[in-house]
Amino acid sequence: MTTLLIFAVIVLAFLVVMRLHRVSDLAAALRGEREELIPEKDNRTSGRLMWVIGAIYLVFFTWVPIHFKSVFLPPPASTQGVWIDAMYHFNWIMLGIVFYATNIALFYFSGKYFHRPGKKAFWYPHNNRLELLWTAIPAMVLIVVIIYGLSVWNKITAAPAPGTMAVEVYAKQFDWTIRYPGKDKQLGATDFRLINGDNPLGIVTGNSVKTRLAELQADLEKAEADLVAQAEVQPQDQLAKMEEHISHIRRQREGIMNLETLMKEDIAVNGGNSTYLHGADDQVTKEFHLPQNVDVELLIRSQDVIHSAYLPHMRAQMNAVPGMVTRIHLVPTITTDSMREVTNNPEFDYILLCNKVCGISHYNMQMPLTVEKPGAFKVWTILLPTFENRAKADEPAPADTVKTQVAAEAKADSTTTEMKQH
Amino acid sequence: MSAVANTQAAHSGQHHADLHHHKESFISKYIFSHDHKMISKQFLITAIVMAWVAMIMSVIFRLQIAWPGESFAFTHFFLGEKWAPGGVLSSSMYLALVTIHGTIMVFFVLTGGLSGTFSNLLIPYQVGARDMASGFINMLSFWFFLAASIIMLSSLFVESGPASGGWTVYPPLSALPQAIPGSGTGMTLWLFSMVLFVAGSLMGSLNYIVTIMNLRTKGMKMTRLPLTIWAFLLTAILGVLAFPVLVSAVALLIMDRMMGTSFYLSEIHIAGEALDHMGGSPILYQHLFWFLGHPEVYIVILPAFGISSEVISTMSRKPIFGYRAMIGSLMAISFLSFIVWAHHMFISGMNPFLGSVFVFTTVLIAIPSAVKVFNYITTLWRGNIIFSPAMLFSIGMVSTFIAGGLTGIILANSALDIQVHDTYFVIAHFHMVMGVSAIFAMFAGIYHWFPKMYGRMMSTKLGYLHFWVTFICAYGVFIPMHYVGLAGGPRRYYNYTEFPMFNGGVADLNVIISIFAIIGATAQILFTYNFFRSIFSGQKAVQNPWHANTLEWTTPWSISMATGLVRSLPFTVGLTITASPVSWKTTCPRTCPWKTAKRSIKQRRNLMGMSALLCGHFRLYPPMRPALIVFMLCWLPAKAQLLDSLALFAEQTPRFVLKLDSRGSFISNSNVSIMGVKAGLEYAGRFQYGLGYSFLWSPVEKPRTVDGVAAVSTTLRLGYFTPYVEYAFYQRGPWEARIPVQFGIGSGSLVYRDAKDRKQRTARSFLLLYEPSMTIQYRFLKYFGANAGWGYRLLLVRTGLDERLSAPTYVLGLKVFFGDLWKDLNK
Repeated sequence: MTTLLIFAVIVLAFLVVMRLHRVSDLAAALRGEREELIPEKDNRTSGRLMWVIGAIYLVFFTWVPIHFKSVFLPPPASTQGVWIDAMYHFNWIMLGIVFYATNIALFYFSGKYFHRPGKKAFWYPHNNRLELLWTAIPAMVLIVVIIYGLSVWNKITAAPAPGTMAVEVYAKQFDWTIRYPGKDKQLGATDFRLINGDNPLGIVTGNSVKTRLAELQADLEKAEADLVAQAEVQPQDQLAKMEEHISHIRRQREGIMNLETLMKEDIAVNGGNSTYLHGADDQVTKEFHLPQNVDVELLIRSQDVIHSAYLPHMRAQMNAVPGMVTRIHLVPTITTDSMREVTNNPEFDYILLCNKVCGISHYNMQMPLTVEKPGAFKVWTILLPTFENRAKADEPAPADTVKTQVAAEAKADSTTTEMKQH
Repeated sequence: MSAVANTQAAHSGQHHADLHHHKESFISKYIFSHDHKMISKQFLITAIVMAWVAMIMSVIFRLQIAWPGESFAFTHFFLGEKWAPGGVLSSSMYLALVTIHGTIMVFFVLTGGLSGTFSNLLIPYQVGARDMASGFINMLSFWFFLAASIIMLSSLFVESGPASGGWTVYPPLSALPQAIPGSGTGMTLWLFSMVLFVAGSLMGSLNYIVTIMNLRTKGMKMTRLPLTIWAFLLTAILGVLAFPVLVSAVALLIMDRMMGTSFYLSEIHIAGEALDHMGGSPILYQHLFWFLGHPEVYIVILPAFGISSEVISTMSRKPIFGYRAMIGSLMAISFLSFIVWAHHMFISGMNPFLGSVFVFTTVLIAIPSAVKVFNYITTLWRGNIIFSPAMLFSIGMVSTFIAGGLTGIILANSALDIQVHDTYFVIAHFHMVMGVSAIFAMFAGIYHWFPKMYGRMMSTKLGYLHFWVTFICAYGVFIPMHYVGLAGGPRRYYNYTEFPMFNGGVADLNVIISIFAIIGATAQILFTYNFFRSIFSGQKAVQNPWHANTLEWTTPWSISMATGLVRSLPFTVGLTITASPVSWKTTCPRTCPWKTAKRSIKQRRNLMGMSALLCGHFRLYPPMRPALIVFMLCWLPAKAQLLDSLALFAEQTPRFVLKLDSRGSFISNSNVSIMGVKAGLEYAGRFQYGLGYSFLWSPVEKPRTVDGVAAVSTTLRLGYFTPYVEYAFYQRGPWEARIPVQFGIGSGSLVYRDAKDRKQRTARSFLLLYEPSMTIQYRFLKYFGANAGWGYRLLLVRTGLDERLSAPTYVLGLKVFFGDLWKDLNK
């Protein structure tokens, strides 16, 4: 009802404006006024408005960041966050000077030199010295901006030292999964064909390959039986679809068999170093923890479409691209707990969110990130179930995992409180 | 002084009006018009309609963002129960709206609407040409644009919803219907609409370039062109170079969607199933898209620069400051725009080193942009500023361009971009720098050239009101939006209620933004009312209301220049991909399963059968249909242009031509010459047709078995009538290139002497020949021409002559222009 009223008011307002305009139009015609001969009064008003509105604009522009200071650029919580923020401040100052100078000149001149009868414009077609000056000065300033920007960019994207802790951030519609490397400190190989309910990331281990092959075999048999059973009943195009489905399963199976061969060869050549042997102790979890003041490399992958891993407080962002591994290298510097104290907000959490449109629930693809002291982090990771164990433990005794999780949480809590007391 | 000029021009205008006074039907005048003025109006009105559609969309999603989950009768009215259950916008429709809003605004309003309207209106006027180089192609460019608009709008009514992966339609999201409902039929329509749009825009751009380069009036040097024309020229060049890349990106995407290729797809597991695609890269699409996408930004803003330069200079009664610097900066911007595309992809996962290269080139664009801004400000300095609504909008454009351009320097720095990439900061930046700026320039152009378009004035008072409300609202919307982005607010989020960090100040800012957006959108009613009212009942305009000194104001409204020499088309537009069905048929190998395809024609009895015939060999029959359509599109403009030029020639008085010619040729490997005499008509020295008779001149003798008698010496006789057509497609100085094409219809026989020494004929047969060729001629000493050419003669029927008549032909000759000689002798 209210909207209807508002709508009616708007319509009426416009009708009124149009009528008024019609009246003034007719009056103007009677007075012999012409649209293109803009009277001095109007020119003067427009000129004054240029000053007034220009001033209001600049005041508004200054007021918004002061008033909403707490909102924008949340405090940086990583080393690169500090570098980036320093660079922002440098750029704000530089651009601010240019912004105020050009806008003030623009509005001031427009307001000052409005048309007055009998006045003549100053004929000034060009001035090479002036033009050279304002080509050269921006060029020099921008070179500084570029050099500063690139030095920071190179620092941020520099390759991490060997042995840096790797954590996998895995995106799919519409959630995140995290994988820690486990005891061997190396992430195992993955293959998207191995993805199923027990293996959401497609980690390659001897067992996972076998399970998946068995599953596909069962699928294949079922599909073939279906085809035989439906051959008389279904129309031709439906049967063609079913055949296509069967050959699709065959292709998948062939792919996995190739993978198996590769894996065997790789293990034969590299022995214990083979990337296919690191998967078993990986820890897959739906919680995201990082240690404070430790170099971390986030390896980002995607299962389906492009996502973007965005950590606004860390000043870090990287797309998750299917078929590719992308990287963020980062050092978190402030723990969640101290951030809660600083911001005076007990609910505060760092956040990992998706920043590339990825589907209908894109707006809610998020995961809180907890940054904690390295000790607490270590305790937390040790208690996470490994991939092999979880896959085994799942069926016989789900109660066990719950117990361990509860125990883990309790321990983690106690350690964090200890840390705080220190 | 100006009054005198006005009356003079009015007088001559009347004269022209008399000359051009021939009746046109409603359809040829208003619908399928070849007239640049009418086409520009068609573009403008289509763009206004499209802009309203896109603006209402933006109001709908701004309502959702500011007041998430609340019910609005407005939303429900436009979207109905399906997309807005209970008046609350659904999340899938939200994404569809932002996608279609972006697509329409960028392509249909700011590219088609801005450059289509003003290039068409101003180029012929300001360079002093009679009309565009090709009126027909110009018409086609509008109709392709309209067809694209209609397809884009029709995608709103598809069951699974319109395209909804953002206006950049990144795959895999846009390639897989499993990923988002909008990637089904809606996406297909989006892609086809874009292909049509690009075809139309290419036709327009080629026309603009040809007109500006070749049809300038006497004395209109490149360094005297108004800045508007420079801007339109560079825009058209950018369009011609960049848009085909979009088509190729779209073509690959179509193949990924329909034919199972893997250009952009790799290792995807979606909807519980691993897909077969391997080895593609989604980043490839981003490179291809942004190779168009970034120049596209300048395709939008360059015409805006042109218009505001012209308006600011005219209305402050000063020449534009630094004309050459302005041209130089336009050129620098156009050049740089091609080597900065990957700044949209700093965090896409490409190599960081590549990123640093693009930082460098991108930041450099700020230099020519700064030069432009300083020059605008200096033009205003000590001017005599008349605040017409057009002038207000131009000043507003400079102001918004400053605000948007400066944040561009932040985004160009890859390190800073990490934090604000894909957030509302980016949205605020590009809306400011290309959205608001370009639309302000478009308003300026409309207010300024309205008298030229419709011969009436728009209301200045309503214009003032429109400007101030729009200007305040534009800043009210986009200044706060920067801070939403700096707070980390991602774009294309249906709502922010799930995030505690966006609940306080950010939510407040979103409410402020939406209120300004709604007021700003409502204010456009003022403009629309003013525009349509003034078409019918605005004050009648004088010839040069703004006292401008560009050429368009030297004629009364609606009369084109007609001062330039009427030159025929200087060259043929080079879009001749001759993948026409005919050549496919002849080049298709014999293994082609014609029989199956022919059967399918019989069964279906429609065009699909025809394309089945063409595609049968490749076993890609249904998906090849779109490819065929694309080919046909490329093939059409060339033919259309030819027809167009022919129509132009046909208006002129023809000249009678009589000629003797001799062609060298081969018959069964022996060199022969064939003599001919021809009579015909020639139009404009370019196009000729007529009829002739040709016969074999050299003796071709061969011993043969005739009537059972062996080794009779026979002579070949050939004689045939030759209807012919000749077209000179290139003429410059003494050089000329022609394509003579002739058909031969006649008979051939073998002559021998029988035992009684009487002449006998045998093996009389019907001849049908086709002889295309090409000749190049050099004219010297005024009356003589030397020419050389080559071609081919094809025998189209079977004969009993036992000679190979299909063979290459050649011409080496001397031409005497008796007509000119006779004229000069009689002087």
